[in-house]
Amino acid sequence: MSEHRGLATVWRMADDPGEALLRAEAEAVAVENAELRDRYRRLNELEEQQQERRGVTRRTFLAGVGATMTALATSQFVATRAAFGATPGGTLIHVFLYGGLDGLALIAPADDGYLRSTRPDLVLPASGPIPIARNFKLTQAFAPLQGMLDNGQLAFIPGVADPRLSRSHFQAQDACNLGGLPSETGGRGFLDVLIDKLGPGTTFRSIGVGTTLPRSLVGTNSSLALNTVASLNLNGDRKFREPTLTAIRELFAGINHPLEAVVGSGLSALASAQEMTAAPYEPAEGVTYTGQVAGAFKELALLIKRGANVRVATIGTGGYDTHENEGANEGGFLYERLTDLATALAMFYLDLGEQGNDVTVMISSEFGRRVAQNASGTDHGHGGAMILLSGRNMRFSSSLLGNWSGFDSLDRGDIPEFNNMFDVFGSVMKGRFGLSDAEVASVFPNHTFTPMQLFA
Amino acid sequence: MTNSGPPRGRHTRPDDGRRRETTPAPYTADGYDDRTYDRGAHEAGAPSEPPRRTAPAPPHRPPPPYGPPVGRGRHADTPGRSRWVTGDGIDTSGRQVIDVGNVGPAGQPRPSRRNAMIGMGALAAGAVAALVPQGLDLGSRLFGGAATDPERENGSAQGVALQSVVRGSPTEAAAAVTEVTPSPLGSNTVLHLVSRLTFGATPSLVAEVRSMGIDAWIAAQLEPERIDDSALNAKLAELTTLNKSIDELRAEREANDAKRIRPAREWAEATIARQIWSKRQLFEVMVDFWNDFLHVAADIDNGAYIRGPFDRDVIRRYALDNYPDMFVAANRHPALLRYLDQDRSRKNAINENLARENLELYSVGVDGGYTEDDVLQAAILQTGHSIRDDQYVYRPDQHVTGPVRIMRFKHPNSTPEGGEEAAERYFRYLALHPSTARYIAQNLATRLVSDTPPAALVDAVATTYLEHKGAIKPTLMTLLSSTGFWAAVGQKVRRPAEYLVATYRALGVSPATPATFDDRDPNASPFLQGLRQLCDFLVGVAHWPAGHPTPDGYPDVFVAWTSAGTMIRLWNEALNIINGGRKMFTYLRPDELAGPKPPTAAGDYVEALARNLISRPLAPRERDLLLGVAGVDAAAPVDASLNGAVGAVARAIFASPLHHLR
Repeated sequence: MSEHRGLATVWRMADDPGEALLRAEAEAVAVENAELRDRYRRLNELEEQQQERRGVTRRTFLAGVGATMTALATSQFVATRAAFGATPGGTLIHVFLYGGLDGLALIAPADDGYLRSTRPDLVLPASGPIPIARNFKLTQAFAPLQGMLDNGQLAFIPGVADPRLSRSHFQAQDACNLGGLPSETGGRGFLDVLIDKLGPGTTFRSIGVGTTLPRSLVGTNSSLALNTVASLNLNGDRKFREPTLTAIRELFAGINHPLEAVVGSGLSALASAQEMTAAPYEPAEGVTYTGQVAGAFKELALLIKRGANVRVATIGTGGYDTHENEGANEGGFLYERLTDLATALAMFYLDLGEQGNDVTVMISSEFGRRVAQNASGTDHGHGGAMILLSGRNMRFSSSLLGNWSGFDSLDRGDIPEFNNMFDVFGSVMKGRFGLSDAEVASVFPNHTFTPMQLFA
Repeated sequence: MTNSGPPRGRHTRPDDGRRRETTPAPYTADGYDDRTYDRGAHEAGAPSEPPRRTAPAPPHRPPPPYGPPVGRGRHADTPGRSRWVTGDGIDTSGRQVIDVGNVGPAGQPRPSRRNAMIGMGALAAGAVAALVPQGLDLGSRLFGGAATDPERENGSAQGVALQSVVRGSPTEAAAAVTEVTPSPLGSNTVLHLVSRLTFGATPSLVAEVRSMGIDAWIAAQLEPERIDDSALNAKLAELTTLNKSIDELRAEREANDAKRIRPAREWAEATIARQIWSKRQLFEVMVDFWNDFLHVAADIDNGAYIRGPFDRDVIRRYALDNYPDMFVAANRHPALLRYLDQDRSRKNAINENLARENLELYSVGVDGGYTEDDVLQAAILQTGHSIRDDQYVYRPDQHVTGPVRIMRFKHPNSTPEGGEEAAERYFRYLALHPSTARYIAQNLATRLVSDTPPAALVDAVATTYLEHKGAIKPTLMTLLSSTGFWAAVGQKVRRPAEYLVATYRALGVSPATPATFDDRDPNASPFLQGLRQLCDFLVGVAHWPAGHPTPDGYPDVFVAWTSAGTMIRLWNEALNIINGGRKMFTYLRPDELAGPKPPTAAGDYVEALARNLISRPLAPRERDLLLGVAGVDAAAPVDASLNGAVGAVARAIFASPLHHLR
């Protein structure tokens, strides 16, 4: 190709260094190499100091990646467990309501004059809403979960926030999903760190139902993102399927890029998914899944019931940014969304039956909304509400958990942080997986973990 | 089905001065070294420091991040040493060979959305670095003399041996001396160049670069207006809204609705077509980069009228020109103003959304040295920038006057009529701020080099950006003249849209409609129908043009895109394309993919197939694994369809790292 070089290029070819220059260059390079190495060492030290608070140094992190890849090369090629049974140690499902749930449209002090005056169109009506503990009421949209409420399997926490959360959707979403600021967490999601504590598992031990992986699962554990289990299937002539998968796996082996681990876990998932979807999925009698959130729960029910050993899963759903036409009461926009959510949850637990006994669902949003309504909705606020559901093996100590100090201590019109979000997250993990306080604390760097009494 | 991302729609920001952890801003403006950072202040044309306007209550300052400061400040302490081949400073083209070593240390995660993703990349590439065999001596480079042939052919996995005497242009010299990071992609310089500066290799493109030479090809690509693209443009003429003005699009709304034509969607579809079929590939790569960097989502109020024009009149207009002009033009375009609520900003109700993102995402970056007070001052200065009838308008009656100081930019801002010009001075100050240079360099290198580009490379690119007043071509040339670029073979992973586009290119799919196509849509040409299907597919894998809801743009690091579901969809889509799935396009038959007269021995056949599809020779092991798909030995006699396995083997090639990596 060199014969086609332009004139300017040819001109440059004239500068031809001599031996002496080469030797001088070599010396300069040696000096520079030493400097570079020193600099890299300093950077590594800085980085390790930074990450120590999370209990993950750069070195241990890299070892972790290696371990993940080794696991993929061995145990995870094993097909899914044949035994149908509850997942040992249970399952935690985190549902994120994107947009900022108006917590006061979900639960609120009963018959409150301040609410009637500040949000006349959005206050829970006098009759209809479901009484819960401490003179609070729950929106009637949650009627499908009345049985679980009566059974101590449904609880709410008001005024949940963290000082890190601004009123910007994605700043707050990011901090919620990472368990801190990006600078504090190194960009790893809090659920990905949690998975470190759960020991080895199968390909499906951590999954995000959706097109992309949520930030809470981003990190080192090769979590899977999938829309449906059945979609994990290679198309084309069946006779080429297995040889193709074998070739792909081998072609990625030793490629000197972490994509190898991602592809490995994807292929393992594909193999397992084929087994799990060999027979069409029939939910339990009386169960129908309708709508987006319900569809996601259906995929999780399939995985759990067919023994995929899901330990941590996420579902994301949007539409909670209700600046206009919020519709908190029957027939309204938000009411219908909450009805869909409650129905999906009720169906999910009904479908799981005994296998749902050790399944915990934790539902949160990036922030609450302002107490006072605007024209027809609410703007971004601070303290929000969280929803917790549990299988039969663990009951909540109350249907309304945590602190609530009323509307006298509003922060410029917003519910302040009565309960810390990461304390709630951590306390749920602690109860679900039997972690120590120190293990939970290491998931949330720069936050002083204070356990909350959630379970009876 | 379930979208785990944030909801659609614009985001809004708190405007009450509380809780500003978004912006730790460890470097205040006053902390800057004047010798380096004062330039913009002088350019701002403020003769003397005016009294500061009465500021609102001091915003809550977050505690400083633990540990030592991170980010650019660190690099400021230890500037990357560069050795210039020509040794006489910076020439007008910005072409120097810069020795920045191999894959660098993992960058520090930073407290911003986009930077956090870069941080994620750093984590991932940290893993890469750990896997790189020991013994690569970082920084061992010699420059000066002549390379016998700047194109390397696939060398050993350890990269090419250093050459003691190197000659040639800076890009070629850098390419020739670089020790390549081991990768399945080998060390071929032409293929590396093509995989980074285009949306994917084709046999004719590779032949073109080989015949022109690396340097001449880059030079030609840097002047896209001189590259004949008439074949594609003739097809794109079927998309009737592409070249319309905002006023025309408004006027034709009902007619377009009747034909179910959605202009913003047409723009997205045209973008995909250009990436596949345009000969101006480097230009399209840069357009894609800037659309991610200066991201404006298409799904905004009246996006149909303004999103396509934003791409045409702001992004494409300046994609290879200069950033200060692009930044000013963006801030005078209704698309950006609407996306980030600038048109809602009033004298008595200032909205700081765009002012904040101008700093955080579109210029200096979140750790670029601004404070909450700067955001508010900028929001004040930008008042008056508004929209009327979907067109940008400056409204003096809504401009708040009074002296402003934003970082080191000062302006008396004394008249309502002068607000627009004052804001322009501020935008230009920002665009040429050293933090902006570094932030753009970091993002550009993340796009073209690796998820964790070497810091010294980023420093060098940033330096050129400043020296050339934000001119993009010399900035690019510095990047391409660095060994860091040439070392990073195979360190990027194609994002979903890049994978789809590269697959179309590799298979040589033509936009011509075959006579056999059964056209049932009276309102859209077959070509447009096909583009709509492509765009629908990209929606399904969450990576369609301007589809990202939030202003940080799509992430450009692979860890953000790891999804088993998406990966398998892409593999299945590859087989669909091999089989000619979208019938409005023209395809080679599968039994033509290995050439008009394919080899009759299976091993030779598979090698010919790989040469045609991915322009690469196969390692023996790779060839044997692919033969395993067909279930035959290398010596086995095969027919033109590889005994019926050509589609399966071609798909396996596309599902391999040889096609996923770039």
